[in-house]
Amino acid sequence: MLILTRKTNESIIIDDVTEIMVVDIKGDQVKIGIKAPKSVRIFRGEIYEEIQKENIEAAKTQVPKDLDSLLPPSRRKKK
Amino acid sequence: MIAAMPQEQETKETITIETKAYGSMQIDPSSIIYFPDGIFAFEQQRKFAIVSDKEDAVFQWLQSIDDTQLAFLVANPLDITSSYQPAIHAEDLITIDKPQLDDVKIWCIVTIPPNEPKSMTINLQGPLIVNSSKNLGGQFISSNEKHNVRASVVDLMEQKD
Repeated sequence: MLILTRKTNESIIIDDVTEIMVVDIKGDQVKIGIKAPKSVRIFRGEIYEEIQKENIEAAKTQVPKDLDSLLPPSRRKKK
Repeated sequence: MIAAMPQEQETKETITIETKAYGSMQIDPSSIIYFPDGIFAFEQQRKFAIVSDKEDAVFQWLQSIDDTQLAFLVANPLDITSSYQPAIHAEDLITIDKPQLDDVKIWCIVTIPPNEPKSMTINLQGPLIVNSSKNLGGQFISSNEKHNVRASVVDLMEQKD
């Protein structure tokens, strides 16, 4: 992993088209701005893990007795 | 054993599948959806069907054809929230051959914490998108940060319409 140290308003350019800038630093939080073409997918690093974990939790959902009864009566059938 | 991939079938017969929620069920084999990449954490699962015991149920099940115990409660997000436009990259949607997201079915996975049905959540950030005409499906990430992985169903429905 390439590690660079930047100050606020300094940036990093990747592949000539993607720019990452340190916008603000407050305590232990760094605000990062990213300029990139639409084709570049940008996600928080933990998103893949979050969705994997959520799917695993969801797979454990037990068959509820009558799920639709949890909805308000007007919402129990599709529109 | 279920034969060819869905788009090759033109049979009017039904087949029996085993489901977690309803035991044995008869389904139209052409309703089986093929997930080329499975779904997150279950990348090896390829074949699923949407099943329910009621025609118009808000909640249905995404049932794995190959693993009876693997099923996910799902809902159409538009039954839960007023508007939903997942922001997904066209390149990702190539696996289901729908880069423009037109004419697709969208389902989101619902999680019910044990014994806490009112705390149930819906994953709006990782919707399942199905190309119905080709029976291809996948789970994709919406880059709209407002789409929560764990959005409260009860709260969304209270705010709806």
